[in-house]
This record gives sequence, C-alpha cells and structure tokens, in this order.
Amino acid sequence: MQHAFGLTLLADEPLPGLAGGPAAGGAEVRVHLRRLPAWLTAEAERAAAPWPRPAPPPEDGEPPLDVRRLAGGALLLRYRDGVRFVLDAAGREVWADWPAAHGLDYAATYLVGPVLGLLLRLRGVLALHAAAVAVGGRALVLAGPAEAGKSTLAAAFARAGHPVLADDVAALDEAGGGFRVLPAFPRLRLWPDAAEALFGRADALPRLAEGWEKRALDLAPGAGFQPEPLPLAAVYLLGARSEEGPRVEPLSGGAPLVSLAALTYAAPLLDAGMRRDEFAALARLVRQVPVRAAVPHLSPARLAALVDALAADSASLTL
Amino acid sequence: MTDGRVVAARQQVSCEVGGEVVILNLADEVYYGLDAVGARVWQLIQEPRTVEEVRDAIVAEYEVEPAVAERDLRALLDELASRRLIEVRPSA
Repeated sequence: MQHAFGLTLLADEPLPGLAGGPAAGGAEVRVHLRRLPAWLTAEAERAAAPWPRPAPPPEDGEPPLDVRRLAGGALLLRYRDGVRFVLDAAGREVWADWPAAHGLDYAATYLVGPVLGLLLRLRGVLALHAAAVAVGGRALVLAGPAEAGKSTLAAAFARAGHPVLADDVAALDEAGGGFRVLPAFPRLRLWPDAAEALFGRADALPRLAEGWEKRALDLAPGAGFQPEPLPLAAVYLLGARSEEGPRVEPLSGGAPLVSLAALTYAAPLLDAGMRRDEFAALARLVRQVPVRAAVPHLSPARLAALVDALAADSASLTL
Repeated sequence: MTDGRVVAARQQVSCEVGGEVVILNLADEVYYGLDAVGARVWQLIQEPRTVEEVRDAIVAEYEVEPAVAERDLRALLDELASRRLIEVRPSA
C-alpha cells in the first residue's frame, strides 16, 4: 500500500518513488498497470472526442500530450512516446499502458507526476504548480511555472534541514476553516544543472528512468520528507531571478488571486463548474493566507540565502 | 453604450480581495482585475443600471468631475463589454 497527496494508492505493483506503509486512512485509488480498461475498445478509442480546449502545455520536457474525452466523462491521455493513461471521471481509478521497450519506472514518471496531479483535480482537490516545505511546523508553498526553480529550491530547503512535502504539485486540503498542505511523495525531480549546482555533479544523482533527463533525489521520511500534512503558513510566488535577489516582497489588491489562478494544476482540463469552485477556493485562500513574491538571485550559489530569507519571513507571519 | 442598461454578464464569477475585484470569465477562462473605483462600478452593475446612474453614484462617492467620471466609466464599460463581462440591455 502506498501513499501520495493524502490518497492511498492500490497499484498492481509498487510505484517507484512513492511512500509505502500501512493504511493512512486516505481515500483509495486503484492503479491498473500495463492495461487500459476492458471497455475501451479500439473503436471507442478512435471515436473519442478531442478535449474541447487545448491540452496543458507539456511539463518540463515531457512529450506533447493528446487528451480525449471518453464515455462517462473518463479521460484518455496519450503521450507521443506511446504511454497512455485512462482516468475515470471521479478520479478513483487509473489505468496505465506503455510500450514494452519501457519499464514501469519510465511510465511511473508520468503517473506519479502529472497524472496524479490531474487525478487530484478530478477529485475536487485544489492543487498548485508549487513545491512545499516545512518550516517551524507549518508549510510554505513555493509556487511558480515550469522552470521557475521549484524543485531546486525545495532541495535547498531540505539541505538546510527543512523537510519537503512536495516539489512540483502542492495539494491543498481545506478543512476546519483553514488550509493544509498534503505531502506528495519522498522524491525530488531535478534537472541535471540543478543536481550539479547542489551536489557538484549531475551524475551524483540517478536518472528518474532510462530516457528521462531529470534526476531523482530520494528523501528519508521524517528527515528530508515531511510525511504528515501541515497547516499552510504562506504562499510565495517565485519570480524571475534578479541581481537584486534574494528578497521577499509583499503583494496587494487582486494580484495574489490573479497570480495563483494562473498556477493551478491542470486547469485547462477542468470544466466550467470546476473552475468556478477553484476560483471560490482561491478567493478563500488569499483572504486567509499571506501571498508574497520571492525573487531569487541570479546565482544558484545564493539559493541558501533565499531559503533563509523565506524561513525568516514566514516566521514573522502570525496566523 | 449610450442607451440601455448595463449589467454583469452571467458567464463569470468575481470576488473582492484587498479592495479590488478579480473576475474570472468562464467563457474563455481569462482573469481580469479591477482597481478600487472599478470594483465599485462592478458592485453597482450587479443589477441592471444606466450609465448615468453609475456615473452619478461614482461622482457622489469620489472627488471627480462628472465629465471625467463619465469618460472613464465609458472606457471601463467598453473594455468590459469587449471581454464579454457585461451585457447591455435595451431600455424599457
């Protein structure tokens, strides 16, 4: 039994990179490997309607994605390298199928990343393009588009002794009038240049899978990884690197809401009703939780100073 | 937009944060932000009103010449109309 984002995943085989352990009481998601649903005949796949809006742009070097809508609201995701996923409309079941040339670790790189992110959204969970780290028993969310340096900054927090909850998808749970961040899984995904900046050499870390450029940094539960949800203290929007960084700046008016709305995960795959709910949740979020801008310095060598600045800033915020 | 009443369109959701208003157009999923005066106009046109009614309310609440208020208001309403965030209904 494995866990991610507050869900219990029941997969045909253990998925690389996920946390194992006894049942944590989360909702169950079935993951069928090496097969698509029996009801998806070749004819049904051919007849599947294209998603009415453009698919989300590919993430971090993934091949482009084709999205189709199947009977009953299920979604079919087809990557150009032949890896395919089906998600039922309620986000309770996933099927994964891939060419025999690849292993489970290759397909799991999609599954544990963008596919689980989309599944969360189908389940009505608010999820941001963000890393999340633990500072002083509370969670900081570090949001930004692809290439903003989320994973690298999360790794820098881990090195400074602050456990990581997530490196690319931050799932938020709204309970008891506040927001909590749900832990993702104990593996960071780093570009080779980030691995080199942090560890001296890109090959200090193994590839996620053969055929993937990104490197895997596995974190120990309770040390590098924060395995329990934490209350959300603040959201920092990662801006462009600047000579004037690292620094933290306040945001005012509608800016936090407009910025965060552009950073929700898999938003193009949500229908109008889901976008409406998302907007309402984001509005509650920006009223309750401080949202600030974080400006990294141009030099990766100053990342530790940004970690210190963010930790100090969050400590100055009282809930 | 000289005749008729203007009202916020149905295919949107909006909320007030930090004295400003943020609108999500559900038709194209584009977000749009309004400053404090724009937020007040948005509040007023949650029910159908003539341009003159909105102008008079703004003139009464802010230190602004009626002619300037009307010019700025029409520019804002044109912008909102071009983004299909308001509807113009013929006068009764």
